[in-house]
Parts: sequence; C-alpha cells; structure tokens
Amino acid sequence: MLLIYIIIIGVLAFWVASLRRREQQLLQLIDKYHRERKATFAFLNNLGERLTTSTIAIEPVLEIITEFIIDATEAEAGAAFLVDPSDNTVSARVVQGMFPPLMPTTNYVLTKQKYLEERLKREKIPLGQGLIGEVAQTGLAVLVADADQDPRVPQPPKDFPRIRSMMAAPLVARGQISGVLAVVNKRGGGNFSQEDYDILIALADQAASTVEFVKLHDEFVKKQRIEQELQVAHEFQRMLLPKECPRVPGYRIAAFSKPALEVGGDYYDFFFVDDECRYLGVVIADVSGKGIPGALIMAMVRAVVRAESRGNLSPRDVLLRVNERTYQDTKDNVFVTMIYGILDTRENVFRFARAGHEPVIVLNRKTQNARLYGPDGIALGMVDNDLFSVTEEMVIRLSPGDIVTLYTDGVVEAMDEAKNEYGQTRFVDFLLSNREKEPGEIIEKVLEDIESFTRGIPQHDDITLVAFELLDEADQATLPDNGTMDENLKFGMGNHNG
Amino acid sequence: MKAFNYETREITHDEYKGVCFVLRGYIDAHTVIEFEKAVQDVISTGVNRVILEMSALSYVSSAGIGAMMALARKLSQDGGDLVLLSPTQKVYTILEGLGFTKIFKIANTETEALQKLRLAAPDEKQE
Repeated sequence: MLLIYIIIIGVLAFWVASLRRREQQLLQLIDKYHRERKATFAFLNNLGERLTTSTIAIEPVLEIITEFIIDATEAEAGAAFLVDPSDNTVSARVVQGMFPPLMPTTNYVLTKQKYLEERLKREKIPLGQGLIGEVAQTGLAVLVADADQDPRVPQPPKDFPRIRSMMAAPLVARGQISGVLAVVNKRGGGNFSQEDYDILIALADQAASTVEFVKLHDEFVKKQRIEQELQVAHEFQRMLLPKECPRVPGYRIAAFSKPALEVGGDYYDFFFVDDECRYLGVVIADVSGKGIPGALIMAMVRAVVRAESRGNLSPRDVLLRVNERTYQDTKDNVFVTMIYGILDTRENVFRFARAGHEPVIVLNRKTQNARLYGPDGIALGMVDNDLFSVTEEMVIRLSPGDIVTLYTDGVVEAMDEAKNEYGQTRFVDFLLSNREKEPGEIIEKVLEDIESFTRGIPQHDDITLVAFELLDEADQATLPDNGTMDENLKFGMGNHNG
Repeated sequence: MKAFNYETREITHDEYKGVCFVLRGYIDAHTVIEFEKAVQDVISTGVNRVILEMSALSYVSSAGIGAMMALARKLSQDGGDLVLLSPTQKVYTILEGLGFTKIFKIANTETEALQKLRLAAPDEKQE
C-alpha cells in the first residue's frame, strides 16, 4: 500500500515538475514573441514616421530595415542584399557597421568602414554561392552561431575584421525571393542565439512586404511618368494637326488621325501654297520614331515642308529640299515617309511625289475602279539628294466624282489577335464598296471596319487617312454656300480620338 | 517562342573577315533594342562587313529598318558594307515601298552576298 502511495506521489511530483517546466517554456516563448512583436511594431512605427510619399524609395527603406535588424539582434554590422534577376546574382545595397567582404579578396588593408561598405556593395554574389547566395536561392534562413566551425563562412585575410557569428534571412514576398538580410558578430563578443535568429526572421518577413510595396510604388511612379510623357506627346501631336479641313469650292475634304498608345509620328496637313488659294498643298506623313522624339521630328518636318512649299509648284522639288534638311538634322536610324501633293483646284489636277510612302488610291465612281499610284521615291532623311533624286513626280487628272485617298501604314498593318494584317487588298476592296459615300463617311467606315477586324487588339501604330472628292456639278448644286462640310469638320477636329 | 533571336557566325572569305547574323522572329520598336545591341557588340570589335540573313525574319518595322540603315551607314563609313541576305517577300515589299531596295545591297544566295561584300574594299570607297 505504501508503495502505491509512494508511486502516486512520485508521479504527481514529476507531473508538477514537468508542468512547471512547461510553464517556464511557455513564459519564455511568450517573452520571445513579445520581443519579436515589439521589434516588428517598432520597425513598422519607425518606418511610418520616417517615410513620406515623397521619400518612398528602395535605398532609404533598406537603410531603416538594416538599422533595425542590427539594433534588434544586437549585431555589430548588417547589410541588406537584393537579388538582380537579370544576371541571377545578389548584391548588397545597404551596409552598416564593419561588415567583412564575403567573396575572396586581395590583400589590401581595408579596415575603414567606408571602404568595407563599398567593397561589399561591389560584390556580385551568384545565386547559390556562399551563405548569402544560398539563402537567396533556397529562401531558407541560416544561423551560424560559431563561424569558426562552419566552412561556408569566408574568413577574409588577416587585416579584415573577422566573422565570428552570422545570420541571414531571405526577403520573401508573393512567393518570390527578392533579397537577403544579414547581420554579423554579436556586440560584446558572444554568439547569436536562437532568439536573435527568430527576431531576424520575423523582421525579414515584415521587411519583405515593405520592400515589395516600395518596388510596386517605384513601378507605379515610373508608369505614371511615362503616361504623363505620352499625354504631352499626344497633346503636342494633336496641336500640330489642322483644326479643320479646308473648305475648297468643288471639293469635299476629310481627314482623320488616330494615334496609337505609344504615339507614332503620323501627321497630315493642308495649306495653300499660293496667295490666290488655287493650289492646295496636301501632306500625309509617317515618322519612324515613336514617343516624344517622333513627335518632335514630326514638328520639324512639318515646319520645313510648310516653309519650302510656299510658292513652289513642284512637289518633287519640295521633297528634295525637305530631304536635304532632314538628312542633315535627323539621326541615322530615323526616316520619314511622305506624300506631298499639290491640288490645282481650278484645273482639277493632283500633282504629287512619294517619299517611300504608301501609294495614292483613286476611286473612280463611273468605272467602279480603284487605281493605285506609287511612283518611284525614297523615304526622307536616309540618303543625300544624289540618291534621293530618283524620286519621281506624278500627275493625276481628276474626273468629277473621283475620290483620292491617302493613308499611312497603320491602316493596312492593323493586326488581329492572330497577327494577321488588315492588308491592302481588304482596304482597297472596302473603299470600292463604299465609293458612293462622302469622304468623311468613307473614313468613318474604314475605321469601323479596321476595328471589327482587330476585335479590340490595341492599335500598335498611328492610323491616318486623308480623302478628298472632286464633286460633280449636280452634287455641287446641292451644297449650299460652297459646301458646309460638317462631317469633314468633325473629322478635322476629332483627331485626338486616341 | 521568343519574339526575336539571332545567331552569329564568322564569314570566311579569302580577302576579308566579317560576321553573319542569322535573324529569326520579328524586329519591331521593342525587339529592335536587342538587335541594335547585338550589332553594336560585334562592330565594336572592329568588324566592318556584315551579312544579315533574313529568311526567318517575318517582319521588320520602321524602327528595325531604321536600325539597319544606320548600321549600313556606319559600316560604309568604316570602309566596310552591309548585305541583306534572303529577305522574305513581305519584308522585301516593305523595303521596296520605302525605296530602300535602291539603298541596301540585297542578295539571294550566300555566294552572291559574299561577292557583294568583297566589292566594298576600302580603296573603292575612296573615290
């Protein structure tokens, strides 16, 4: 009986003791969590205080993070490394304290903190190599309590500070390893403990989402800036287009330009080259550059064409002069395709030259024919006038009811999802089947047809169309006041539809 | 499939050295950056005779053609030349429309391309 009591008391005593131990462990755990939480909260607080929207950038954030991990783990030095996905390396972006180099090094005496920092930042550590490379590749944290016992820790030549103890934790956000946080050497000489290690991991976890946020913010700001730039380019391009199409007795004129998202350099222009308003200059052009550079070249070319065309009745001659200027002033890889024509509104003759541009299409309502005119010619800005002079001039005599159509390659190269092009055949057929309509309406229909072909695939190049019709006498009679061209005006002003 | 890729190989000819780029995919405003870099890397080593083998190049945008024109001009300044080898019908039509078939040297066979490059001997350029 006594034996049973002894056994029961023994078991109870053991149970109480293990409870105590368990309690002790729990208290330690709570204390540990408390410390971790404290460090994390302090980190977030500090981050919130020190960062304003205007200072959100990766380096300052990494500075704060590094400062914090050094503090919370009582380390002598710390560094924040980021992965460079372009060459699969990881390198230090921020270094604080005396952080020894991690790669083999020459024997220069580099004990000053500044040199050490620069040295470490220059090291490009391949993923998987050494402790930091390993953490950056596997995403698993590492604690090396006693570095002398671990061959993975590089020991620099004797003049450098030594690594006694080291820890590294990955920055993981959205399943991606974006970098590594590392600290070396416990202050006061001891080794890093399991507790220090847990704090580093907790902070790294928090830091990872902060770094991710900053990166997204960076991207957003960059995108915003590009969008603003595009907005300026669009606005600029729109400014250079005629506000409305000219009203010319006996003619209906319409034009439309729809810039692509990235802004190409299409433009069209109308102006009288003489004072009597008999000869109407008609321009359609496509600058090969995109964005603001493209828009600027377009502005330059437009100014040169306008200046050179005054009083000059030869389109070829004007193009030669324009080529001379653009050949000198543009970069080697930029060219401009253009059709420049002069419409003699009294004799109803269209005289034009083609600088590497899409051909002129003339729809004849009586014969129900479409004819393409593509005289010899070279794009502007590529060759000197010796070669450019092969560019020919051509004359088209218009009959009443004829519709002359000019367009840029954005029309025929519009693509559907399967990268099929709208194409010249479909374009010409479509024009023919709509030949009874007015120019403004034809342009409208073409745009609709392109849209139904591309089915919502974003436009990759500017689309520009110019069309003019020589009215027959019956048609002219029905037009009050020499033609009130509401449709045309609408197109002329609606060129910012992009 | 990548939008654009290329291979390079040395041109072996008795009288000169050069590089042939075998281009694949298409060159547009985006991939042109890669093309320009590839070319720059090669000509910065002193190469002045280049063949662009284009039979597997489905499309070249104006940006790509601009880059080729700039390359042709650079090589000719360096006493060399550029030859476009076997462009597809589509690419040829684009070049023709721009009037650039009058400017570029274009060949249908490698032998013809090598012959055209040989004619770009430095002394012929100094007229």
